[in-house]
Amino acid sequence: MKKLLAILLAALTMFSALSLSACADNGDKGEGGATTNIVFNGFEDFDRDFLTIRVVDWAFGSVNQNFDKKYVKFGEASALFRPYGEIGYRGLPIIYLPMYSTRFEYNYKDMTKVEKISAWFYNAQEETYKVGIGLQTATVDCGQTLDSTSRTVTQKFNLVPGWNYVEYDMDPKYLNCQTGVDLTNIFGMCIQFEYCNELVEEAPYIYVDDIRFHLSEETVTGSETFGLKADAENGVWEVADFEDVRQAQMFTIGTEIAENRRCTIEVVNANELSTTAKSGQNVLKVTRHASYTTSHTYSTGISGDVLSEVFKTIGKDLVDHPENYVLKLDYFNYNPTRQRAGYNFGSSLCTRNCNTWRYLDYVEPYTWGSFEVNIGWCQSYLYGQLTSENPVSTYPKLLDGYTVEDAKFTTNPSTFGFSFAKYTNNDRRDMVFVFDNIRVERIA
Amino acid sequence: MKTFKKLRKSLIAFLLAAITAFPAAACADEASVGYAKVEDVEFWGTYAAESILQDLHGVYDEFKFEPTIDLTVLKGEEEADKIIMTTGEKPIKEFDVSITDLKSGSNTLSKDNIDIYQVLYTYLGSKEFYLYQGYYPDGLAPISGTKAQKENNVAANSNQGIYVSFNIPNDQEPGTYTGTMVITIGEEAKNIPVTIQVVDAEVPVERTFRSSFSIHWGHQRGELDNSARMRWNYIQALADHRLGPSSLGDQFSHGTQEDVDYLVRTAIKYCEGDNAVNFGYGAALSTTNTEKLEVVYSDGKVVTIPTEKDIASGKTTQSIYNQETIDKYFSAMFYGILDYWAETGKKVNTFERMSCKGVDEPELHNNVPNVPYLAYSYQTGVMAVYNKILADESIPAEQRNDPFFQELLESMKKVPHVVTSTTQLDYYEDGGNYDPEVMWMTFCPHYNKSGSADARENYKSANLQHEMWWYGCDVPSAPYPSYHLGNHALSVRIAGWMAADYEIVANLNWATEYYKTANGDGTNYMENYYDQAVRSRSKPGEGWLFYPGKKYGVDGPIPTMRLKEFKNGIEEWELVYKLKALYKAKGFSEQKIMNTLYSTMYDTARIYDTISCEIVENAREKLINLLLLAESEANVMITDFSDIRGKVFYNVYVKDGYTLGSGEEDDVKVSDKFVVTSAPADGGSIYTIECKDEDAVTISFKDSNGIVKGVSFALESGAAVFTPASQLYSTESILPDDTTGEAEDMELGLVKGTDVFAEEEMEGLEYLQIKMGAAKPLKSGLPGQQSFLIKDALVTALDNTVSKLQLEVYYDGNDELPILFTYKGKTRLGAGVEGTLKKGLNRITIEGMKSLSWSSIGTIEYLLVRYGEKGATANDKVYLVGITVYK
Repeated sequence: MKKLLAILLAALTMFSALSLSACADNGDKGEGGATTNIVFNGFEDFDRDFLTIRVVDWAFGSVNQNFDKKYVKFGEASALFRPYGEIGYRGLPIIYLPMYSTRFEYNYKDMTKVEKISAWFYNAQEETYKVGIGLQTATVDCGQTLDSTSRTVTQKFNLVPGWNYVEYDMDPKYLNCQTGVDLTNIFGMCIQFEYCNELVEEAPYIYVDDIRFHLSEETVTGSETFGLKADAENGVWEVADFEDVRQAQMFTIGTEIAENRRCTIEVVNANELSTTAKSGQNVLKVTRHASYTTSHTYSTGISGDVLSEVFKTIGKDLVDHPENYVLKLDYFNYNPTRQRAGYNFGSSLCTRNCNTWRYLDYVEPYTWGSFEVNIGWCQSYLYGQLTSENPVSTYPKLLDGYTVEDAKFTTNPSTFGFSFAKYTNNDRRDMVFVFDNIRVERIA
Repeated sequence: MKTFKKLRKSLIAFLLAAITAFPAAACADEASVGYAKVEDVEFWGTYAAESILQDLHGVYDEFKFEPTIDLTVLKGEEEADKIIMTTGEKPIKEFDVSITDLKSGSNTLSKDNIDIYQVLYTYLGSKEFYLYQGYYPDGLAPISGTKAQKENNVAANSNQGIYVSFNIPNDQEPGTYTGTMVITIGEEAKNIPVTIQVVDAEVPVERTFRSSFSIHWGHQRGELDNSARMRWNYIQALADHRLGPSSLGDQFSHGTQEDVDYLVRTAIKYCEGDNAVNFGYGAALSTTNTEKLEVVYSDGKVVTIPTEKDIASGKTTQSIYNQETIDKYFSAMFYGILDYWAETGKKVNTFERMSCKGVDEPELHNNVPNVPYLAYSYQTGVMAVYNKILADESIPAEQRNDPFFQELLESMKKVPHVVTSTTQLDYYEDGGNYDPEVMWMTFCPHYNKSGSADARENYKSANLQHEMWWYGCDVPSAPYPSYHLGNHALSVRIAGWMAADYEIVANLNWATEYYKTANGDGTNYMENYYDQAVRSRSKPGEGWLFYPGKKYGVDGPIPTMRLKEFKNGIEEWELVYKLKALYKAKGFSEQKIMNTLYSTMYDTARIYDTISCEIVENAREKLINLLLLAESEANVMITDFSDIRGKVFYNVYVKDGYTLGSGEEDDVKVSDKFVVTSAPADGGSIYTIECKDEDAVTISFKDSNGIVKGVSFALESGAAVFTPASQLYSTESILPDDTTGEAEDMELGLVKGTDVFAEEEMEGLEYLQIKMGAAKPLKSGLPGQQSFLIKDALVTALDNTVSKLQLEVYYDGNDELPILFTYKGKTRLGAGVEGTLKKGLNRITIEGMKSLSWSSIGTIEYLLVRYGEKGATANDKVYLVGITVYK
């Protein structure tokens, strides 16, 4: 009898499991029954999982549903991406997965409780392959290229041949550095591939499966600080030395042109660029992609949040004597011609940065240069434009409710921008600028 | 203990019940619904082009046939048929469809040449625009694809179309091929007999009809593939439907030499294919502004064009084509062809299949005055390349001296520079500043601007090749051809017939794969490409001739019913083109006899609202028979056709060595009750057949082996009724016209025709002389014209079954007079027809009456005849002969 009961119980359990498994597998639950993660896209259903995908309009490559089990991590299917670009195209292949769908009745736009995004990638090449994952901060419509100003700086992942598990860090401390980020209103997730410019025969095979959102029960608060090093005794405060790869997220992308050929920003080991970092191992690599349109300037910049934290760490002396401090950085010209960058600054309490792009010195091909700008000078310059008797339309203006005294570079810095030299029609080269060892130093 | 035992028993019972309940619960849905079996489904056949809505019933009885597939096809042709499954209360859980090879003796029509599609439906719901709101058939997905997506099911109370398309190879043996299509529902099968008669005639492989259809809007979205490879697949999908792309990749070009070289290589590859139609090169042409433009006309005159002020710059400039861009692209193409020729020995003339889309809808962009000068700068750009190449001594002599070299140069000059035009008819209006010798453009007006012969002649006169293109877009809509869902799919097919009739050589279309919509929030993305085909609310289907194929396992697009019908129309154009060439070789024209087919479907580019698949299929059958007769050993050609007051005359040419008659020995048979006379002609004889009553006469041909090839043509006498003027006089139906003022004094009198005017055609008839007093002024006081009314039972009986109305008037005056013949509907006068009375017998015909808006016209109150100059003096030179009503 006991045996019979045991058998019946086992049978009941089995049937229960079968019945539950017939429901959609949408993630896991924790001990208390709370959902710990959800499957955002498992690429199982063509309509739901593929028809919502949007590719860069003219030069992505192809996306297909794959049923070859060798390249499926969970379920019956995965996605095969073959980013092969276009003849003569220089932009990065990007796809976009929207966070919401009316037809399929899901809405994940509020990502404040998402701790991380995970995904499985299968790199079918014999070499490593780099992908980036980012968040889209505005809707992406068809007929437009993915506007990188509405995209966070991607986190880059080196995929080794075979399966790779990647996690995208949702630390709001870093995400909020970037332009237009509102974690309650994220429009989508983008996956960025390497630029290829080859025909289909040469295109790589990258499989993706099981993209999940890992959830926290409470709103994710993120890091308290950027974890920057400070050596007050020697008067050196780190702004960014890129040993923490998350520091790429401290940078923003400029808004000059509406094509996905703006800068790609990533932290890489300096060896990749056949050079040595000025600090640690890593550097920031900023790639300006080629454009065929009229001349454009491309820019990036370190978020004012970072500078603000560094300036607060330095303290009152910086506020009282900004002239005693300089912002310094090292930069490497990874191009075959001499290049120089420009910089720009302002206050976060103004409508725009100062009306100036000051240029750094020229740096010879494949060599390092260094640069410094006096913070006191920046402050004076900003003050001058805010108080100018003959302001031009491109001068910064105070936001409502603030005074000139409020809008100081030392107390409320905005993005410290870097721009790169203009390029004209048919320039088909990517330009690469490398930065390292960004710091504030006391000089007196 | 007892309690525990009870509890244990209860527990076991519960567990047993639970285990049973789970699978039962899982099966509960299936048991309660019940799925259809074969016996629960109504299977019926209908024309492939019929629009059978998915959720509409009770209106299709006249389109229902036996569930068989039965087609007559030509070699090289694609034809389709359709089977509908209509469910009742029970849905079909899943179905499958397969087909066997078709056999005709030892010959096989392979099933590999047969495509089986499941019809996809898209919702059209606006009550303002559609007679029926519901799910309209449009996309065609391969059954293998719908099976993979588990969409091979049918809801209860629904119609589901199975569209079967037969692609007949050009080398298929003629014969009657039979086989079976099997529709499987569950474990049961429904056999559908298939009979395909392959006729011994051919739609040529060579694509003569040209087109420029865009595939650069949205395929990358729908296919998730924006590679050159996918673009090529779309280009090939167009080619499969006898259509050409508006670009081979220009839209993705950045103007670099690498891009241009790529386009040239792609063009050569495209033109080497058997299925090449035409490709567009137009996106490459850019404009620039010049401060001064000197136009050198063909007569040597030099004119400095007044330039217009550029608003943005404040300068005075003229927009012209960038000469460097033309040089870059045309030179690259020419030298690319030469290089390919040198490398491979192959001579590929891509210019023959090239077009440049130039100015787009200048009327909408305030660009009309610029058009002739843009056309001039196109010419100067191309001629600069021409002259450069001629002078290029680096070209090897063996190429320069080859006739192909000169052929290339001449072809380059003939590349059409296409100007789409919505309203502008005539660039000659302002004192003749347009010179086609030095201004090169090919007009491409809307369908509805092309219905008049005068308008077409205007358009064609714009270029030295005397050619025009045409196109449709959001406008026009019915009754003109359009691609719009909600219109009959035949609409686009009939555009092919019209193009043949009007000698239009190409069609243009702005988008075949738009793949986006208007979400109402400013965005255009879609989450379902298959249940929407809406660009603008009233014009669904516009921009959607394809749907994405990836979902259904197709590496490229899937077609639509409309696209298939469009292909049908192009195939029929090619057949007419072939017929035209055969007739022309003998010195004849096919136009008259083809008019008898055209006039069953449309008039002045307006399709009759009584159009049906049956009418079009009848016309197609007759066209095929005309072709077979012309291609036969006897070269039988119907060279003329006329009907006078219901009496129909056909002139039929038969080659020497063959005879036409009713005797056993005659090769071309006609019935003996028709009068046949003959006269010698070059290489044969022309037989005149007079049909005296309403019976049709059949011409059939027996070949030299004594085999009747099934070739016949029914010469219909036409249902025409002639009412002589004497009858109208006797019934007092001719009345003075007092509708616009005081009526003229009018006296009527019959005279015997032969007593007065010896007209051969007037035997037995009388003339009604109309002695009209001086023209009276209008109510407004302005001078009027002489006019009279005809009020008769024949007038009030006129309706939408009438194809044309012909007035016969004999005029004995020397000065030509203007004349208007029209009708009065319930609210106002119709446009009627204006003409000129010349001395002798005149026939004034109101054509295309079937295409009039009869719902607005209502019952016709009277006919009006108005003639002469305003304020004319008395006139007794006009004689009414009679009126013929043609059905």
